Amino acid sequence: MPECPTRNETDSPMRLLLVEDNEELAALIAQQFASTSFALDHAGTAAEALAVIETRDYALVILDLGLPDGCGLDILHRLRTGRRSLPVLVLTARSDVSDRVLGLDLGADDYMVKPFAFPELKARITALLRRPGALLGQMLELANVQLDTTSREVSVHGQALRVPQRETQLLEILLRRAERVVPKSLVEDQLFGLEDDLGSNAVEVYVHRLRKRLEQHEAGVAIHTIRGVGYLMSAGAGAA
Amino acid sequence: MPRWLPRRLLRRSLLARILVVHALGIAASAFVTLGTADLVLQVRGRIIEHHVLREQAAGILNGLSLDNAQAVRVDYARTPLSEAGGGLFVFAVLDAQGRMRLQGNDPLSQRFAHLRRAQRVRFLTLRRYPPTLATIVEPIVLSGQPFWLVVGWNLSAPGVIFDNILDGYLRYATLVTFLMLLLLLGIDLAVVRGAMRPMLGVIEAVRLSNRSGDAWRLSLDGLPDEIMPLAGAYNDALNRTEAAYRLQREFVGDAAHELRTPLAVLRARLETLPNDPSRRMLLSDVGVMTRIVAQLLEIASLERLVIDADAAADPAAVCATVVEALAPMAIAAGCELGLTVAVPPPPGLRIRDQELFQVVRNLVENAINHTRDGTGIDVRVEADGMVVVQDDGPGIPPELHEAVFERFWRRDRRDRSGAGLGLAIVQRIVATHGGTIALASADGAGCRFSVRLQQAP
Repeated sequence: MPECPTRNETDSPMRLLLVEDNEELAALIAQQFASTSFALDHAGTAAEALAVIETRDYALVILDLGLPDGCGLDILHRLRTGRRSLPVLVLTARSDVSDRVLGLDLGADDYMVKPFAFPELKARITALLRRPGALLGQMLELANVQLDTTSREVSVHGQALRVPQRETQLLEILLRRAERVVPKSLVEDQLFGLEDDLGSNAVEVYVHRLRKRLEQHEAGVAIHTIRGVGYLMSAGAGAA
Repeated sequence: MPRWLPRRLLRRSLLARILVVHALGIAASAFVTLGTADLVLQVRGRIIEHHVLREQAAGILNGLSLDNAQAVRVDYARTPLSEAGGGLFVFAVLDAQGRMRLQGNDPLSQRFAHLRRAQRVRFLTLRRYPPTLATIVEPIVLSGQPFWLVVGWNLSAPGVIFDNILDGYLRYATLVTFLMLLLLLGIDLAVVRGAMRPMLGVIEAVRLSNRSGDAWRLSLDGLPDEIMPLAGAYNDALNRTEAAYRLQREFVGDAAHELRTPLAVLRARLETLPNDPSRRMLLSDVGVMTRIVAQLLEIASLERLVIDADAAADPAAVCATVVEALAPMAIAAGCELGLTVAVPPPPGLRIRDQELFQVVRNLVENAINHTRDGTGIDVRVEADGMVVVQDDGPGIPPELHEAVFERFWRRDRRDRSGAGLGLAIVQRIVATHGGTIALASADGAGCRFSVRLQQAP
């Protein structure tokens, strides 16, 4: 198990490393992180980045692939051949799919193409840190909906809500990948495991129930059905 | 150049050129050889002919005499001829006025009257009528008076082998020469084919090279010296092309970095501003700029599009990825995006995943950007592998169907959702892979883009 700092109200905030050679962009990203619960360090070169990674425990690295003293992929390779399994989110100016595949094959956990929206960057980082192996047992949150993954308590507007077990599980799956499509097959696997006598519309039934329940309580989230692919939970009321 | 030989064939086929030149050369040399042989034979034949005629004339002269009545007489017993006539030789004696003073034993000798006479022996060949007569006109003296003895040799009479030999020789020589010509052309064919075999090997290697990677070069091992420079030059050309490609690739990479990083800075700066309507508009403008930059980079990278003959993309999987990737955009635009895949799933297509992804993504983006809220957009993968992107939006009138695929075309110049490159990108990729794209639409009746690509081997 990697040795990671845990998020705790009293403890110091979770520390991220941003490797980005554009000083302006780095400063602006840092400015936006200032209002979050993350602490951000900045390295402008590959050498600097490798040096600070040795000396400090970071929860995650945000890595720009275009660096003045060598490609960010080299850092990625060094990190992956090392002992620590440090989550890495790659930033790249290149949208070629081949570059993306290369990044993921070399062990990047996620990537974003510049320019990016800060809320999405934050959401992806949060999602990466919640992955099994990183951090578990915390609060999932989207708009006014919260789910405590250990106590299994759901609340909307800060008010606790009684939600059956299967629906809570579904909510967790959708919240973990908020604003992104969750394939239907993944939902089926996680919701029903190896049960084999489930009808073809079993997932739809639970989605329908959860959607109604959230609507009734005026939750600020919507579950969208992406026909033929899966489901997507987004902030903003009004389900499609 | 002979008419029946198509000029194009000669210009295009090395073999045809070699064969024609060689055939002409052989024919010319055969003509000279046969002509010379003929000439030599003619000359030798003439010498023999003259000798025989002189002998005959001398023999006939033996039997000639002038009697008291000034008449020329012949005593056949003292000549090689018989009185009955009908032999190979005929003769006559003319006086100074060319009058026939003695007609020989054959009516043919009438042709000798008034032949030109000279003070020395002359030879003539009379060929105006058959039979042909080789003739000697010899001045003689009988009892002190001048006469001319004319002896003719009937060359057309049966049994004269002399001309037969000549004729026969020429006929056989021509036949043999013709056979030689055919034989030589056959040898030419074999020689040229043999010489070209290494060349064909090189051509085959180049033809198959599409399947190999960038680093592929012609092997120079065992190539004949004549072909080596061509193969070397080809490899040099490949090196230059690869260098140009590399430069282009680097340019696209650099351009991406140089354009996207300022956009990222701009966007991050805007995000630190207080949330008000002008910030939202500016952020939306940055979004449009981002899309235009992405399309320009995509167009630039199409210039180095590599066709992988062994590629096999799963259309169902790729379309699912596209729908996943664009679902948030569709939701933000109020569109209902869905995927329908035929059962059983269709076969693989001869295109790489990333290019098929580009095609479908651009079509779906296009649909999202050009339809109103509440529009349904359906991505369909048919059983035969055809990919269809259909919307029930405003549609495109038929007269604009060709224009939509042009670069930088937008239906409305004020439309700021992109650079108008999406469909041009799609068409370029599809055409490069030997596929087709069809648009079915009418004003107010939605759009259907159908992409048909070759199936993977």
